[in-house]
Amino acid sequence: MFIAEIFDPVLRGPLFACTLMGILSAIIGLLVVFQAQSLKGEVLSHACYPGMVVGSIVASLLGQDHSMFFVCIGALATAYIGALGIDVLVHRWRVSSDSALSFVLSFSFSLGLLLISAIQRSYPTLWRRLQALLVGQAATMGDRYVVISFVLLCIVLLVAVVFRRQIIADLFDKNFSQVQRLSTPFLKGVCMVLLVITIIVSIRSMGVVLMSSMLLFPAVTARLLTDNFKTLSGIAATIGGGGGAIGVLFSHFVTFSSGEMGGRALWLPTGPIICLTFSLLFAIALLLSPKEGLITRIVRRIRFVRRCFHENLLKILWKECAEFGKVTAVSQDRVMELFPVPSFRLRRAIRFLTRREILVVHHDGRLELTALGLFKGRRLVRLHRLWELYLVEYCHMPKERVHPSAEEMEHILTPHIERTLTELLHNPRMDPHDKPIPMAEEDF
Amino acid sequence: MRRGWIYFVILFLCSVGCQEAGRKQFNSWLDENGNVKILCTTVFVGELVQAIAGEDFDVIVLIPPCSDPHSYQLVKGDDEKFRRADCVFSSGLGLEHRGALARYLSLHNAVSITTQLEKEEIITDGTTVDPHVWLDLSLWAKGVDCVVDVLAQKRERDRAVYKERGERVRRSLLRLHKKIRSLLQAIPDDRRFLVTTHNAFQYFSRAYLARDEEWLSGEWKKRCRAPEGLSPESQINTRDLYAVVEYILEHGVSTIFAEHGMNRDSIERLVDGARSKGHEVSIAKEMLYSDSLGTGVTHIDMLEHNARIIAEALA
Amino acid sequence: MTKKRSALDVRGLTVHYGSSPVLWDLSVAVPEGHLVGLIGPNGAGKTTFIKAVLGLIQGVAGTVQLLGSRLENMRKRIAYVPQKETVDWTFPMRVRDLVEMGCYPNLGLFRLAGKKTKRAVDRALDLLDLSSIENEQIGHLSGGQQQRAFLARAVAQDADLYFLDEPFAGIDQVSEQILLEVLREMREKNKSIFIVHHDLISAREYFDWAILLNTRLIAFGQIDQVFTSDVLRQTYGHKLSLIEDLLKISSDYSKGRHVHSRDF
Repeated sequence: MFIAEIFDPVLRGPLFACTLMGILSAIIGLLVVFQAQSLKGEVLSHACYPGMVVGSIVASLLGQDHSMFFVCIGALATAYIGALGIDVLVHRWRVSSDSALSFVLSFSFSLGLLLISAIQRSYPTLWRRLQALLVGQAATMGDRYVVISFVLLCIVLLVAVVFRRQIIADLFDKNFSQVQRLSTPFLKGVCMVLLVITIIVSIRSMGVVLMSSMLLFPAVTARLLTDNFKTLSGIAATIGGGGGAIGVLFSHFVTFSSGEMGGRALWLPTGPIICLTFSLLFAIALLLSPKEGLITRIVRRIRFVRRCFHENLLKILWKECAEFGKVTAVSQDRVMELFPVPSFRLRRAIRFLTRREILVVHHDGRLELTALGLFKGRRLVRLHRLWELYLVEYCHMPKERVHPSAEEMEHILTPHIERTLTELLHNPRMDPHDKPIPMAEEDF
Repeated sequence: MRRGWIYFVILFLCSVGCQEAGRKQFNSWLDENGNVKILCTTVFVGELVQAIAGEDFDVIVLIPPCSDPHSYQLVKGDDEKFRRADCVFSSGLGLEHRGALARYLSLHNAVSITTQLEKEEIITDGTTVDPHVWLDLSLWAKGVDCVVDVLAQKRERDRAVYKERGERVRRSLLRLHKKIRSLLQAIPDDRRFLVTTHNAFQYFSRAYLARDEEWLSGEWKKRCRAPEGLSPESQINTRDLYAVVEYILEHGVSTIFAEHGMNRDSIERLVDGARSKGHEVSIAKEMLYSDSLGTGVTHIDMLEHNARIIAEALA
Repeated sequence: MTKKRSALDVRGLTVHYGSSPVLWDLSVAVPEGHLVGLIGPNGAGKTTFIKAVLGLIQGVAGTVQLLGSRLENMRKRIAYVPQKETVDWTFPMRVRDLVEMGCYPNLGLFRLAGKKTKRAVDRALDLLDLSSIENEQIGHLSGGQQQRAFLARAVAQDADLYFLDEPFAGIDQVSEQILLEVLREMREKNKSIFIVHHDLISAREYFDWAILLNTRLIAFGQIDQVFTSDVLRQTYGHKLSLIEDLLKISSDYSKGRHVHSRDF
């Protein structure tokens, strides 16, 4: 039933067209995002608008109401003029980059709106169609758009694959690629044309105003998730296509009408829903990215704090068991004396360490370190005392002041640094407080 | 291809015609000739008022006949019209809801033609009121009384004249109403289903396509359907198109209608959708008038034209 | 005795920026197989010189010959290592990918990166002591590691002429030593290396030839002959900046631009 509905011509056109447009925009968007010119995508989509208006009028005058050809030519012309304008403003007139971009954006958009209002009275049908271009009308796309998007996608993929080296070199290091003639003006021109055509085609579904989200969000989201360019392209394309599809499906299946006459109870226009889907995916990536996601970092920090807590407990147990008296097990009351923390935290830590086989709990509640626990405890104390010695010998810190620093450093010194310190301090036996430094051991 | 050319020519002439007529009219309307100046929002209101008013009043219409009244935005010169007008008539029921226009109307105490309608006669779509009353002549005729009242207030001595004219107008409207009704009721019951571009024909369907008992029971709602809502600027959703396709299949609709000045994309999607389910639907060759008129087309012509096309197509 | 050809032969090179000259009538001829330092104060036009030679900036006058031939024919034999800051290090790329970029000019459009490329990349990484971090993101590298990666790219290219812009700026001691070693090795292989350098003291130690310029050419030649106090004073003195100031003011007046008054 669901499958049948997807392939129904009413849903089929918007669904596949938006998916393909999403993939297409995401891939072209990589170009824009990695040239650090994200705003340029927005500006170009607005700059297309007056050209589309003029092109539509010309098409209508020639009786070719549904022809995309004139619309494309018109949009290409004004987008090119817009891009040229930006260049002239920035390089010849020394206007700052964002001022130039804002100027071209506002100017071309208001020109488009002016043209539209001029034809409001003369060509009301055309006017309505052009108004629809502002916010997009995904629902009325037919199979024709699926074909157009598919063909364009194939062209873009072909160019992207064949010229991948040139494009990447140019994105990363313009000077290098210029000297080596890797990226020629011809290739740049082709990329620009493909960018503008993608924008024009996607405007049909997303509208002039929201179009740049389809261009930028997938690439930006993918950047949060991976560092590999090839993987990034794949993820961006998936997000683009997925966002388009989810947007269409969501706005289709979740919109419901109450009553027979279609009185809307929940109205979800497709274009904005697609944009919101991208935003949602971006927010998720921001929070949960395995690299640098916000939540990932919070979790890491919590884990680190917990590890420090466990290690402090471990140190205390080791000192009681192995260093001082001959007891092999320590009562929990004694631990509470030495390590004043809330008892529930202590209990939780004990449970954790028991699971990790670092200590065992006797029937009477006494805690005993396992061999692994002894090993780890010994190492911690060793690191602590090595560091104290280093601070005293090399940084000339008074030995009364080295303890707090060592308390922190013992948790983060790596084996490599440990070896370096051992060498530097000539395999020391005693720390500044005349306590013995446990010997280094191989891995457990 | 040829059809495209004709369409364009009509559109072009319409636009040129509307523009030219508009300007000349406005200038002559401003002449100080001692007449009472009346401003009407839509052309439908204007024709009604003009038919009753006669020589002592100068009537001008604010929204050009070819423009869409739902989304009309005030332009330069409109505030002059408002200032000069001695009284203002509007269509009401939320048709002129665009911010500035609504404000001007309330500022100048515009009289709404549709104030006489009973609550049961007004169609609501949930919370929004359907303003397309001019497509039901019996309801539109009810506006005669309030027009007569307002005009008589301006010219008390001619009250009887206006009353008489009003009666004549009402009678002719109701005559046409009956004629259209009998024409459309002649279509077999199982074929009287109207699918258009936007939801403008509720009053029309209830008056002319539904049976009497359906009016009372509320079942008349099944007689018409459209993918776009009351105002044609609303966004279409695939769900809407889907629902209309199901409607078409359910009632075996064979012809659907495009409207003047509206995008045909949604209608064409309906054809594709129905075809995929094995049901052939065609789009009527001639278009209906709904929110606007063409040049030289009056309100009466519009209804006759619509009725004729529908009768021919659905019979 | 084999006649050494000129690595770089520049005649009368003049470059303007707007209406003020950045390079004025420069003529140098440097033979192959030397480590050449391009020395001068800030704003002397050193980077502009390299960019003009490599065709990144259009000169108003002058000719440039590289290894006896025009730039167009020599592109594959030239490696350019720009200043670190001109590149976006947040780009998603590993060290290995960056070095492999050096092989792109030779691979062209369609050839896949095969064993030969892999060997060249491995060799370059090894030479610059980057093998342990070859899979690191370039954004995570220290300044010194970044510079080494940049040079590794040039090494992988196996060019004959190398142009480096401030490679020793802001890098750690270890990286500096590694760079120097590699550059000296390359010189032994008769490669010609031109380096924009900012520090006079180390210049004497690093290079065997020098080009001193301050908009105009002050001197070029073997380092001992060139690094006399006279020449250095000329390079770093303020006498020549007077001409530039006058040129700028007159052009400002003619363009109607705001003129700042200055005390001379």
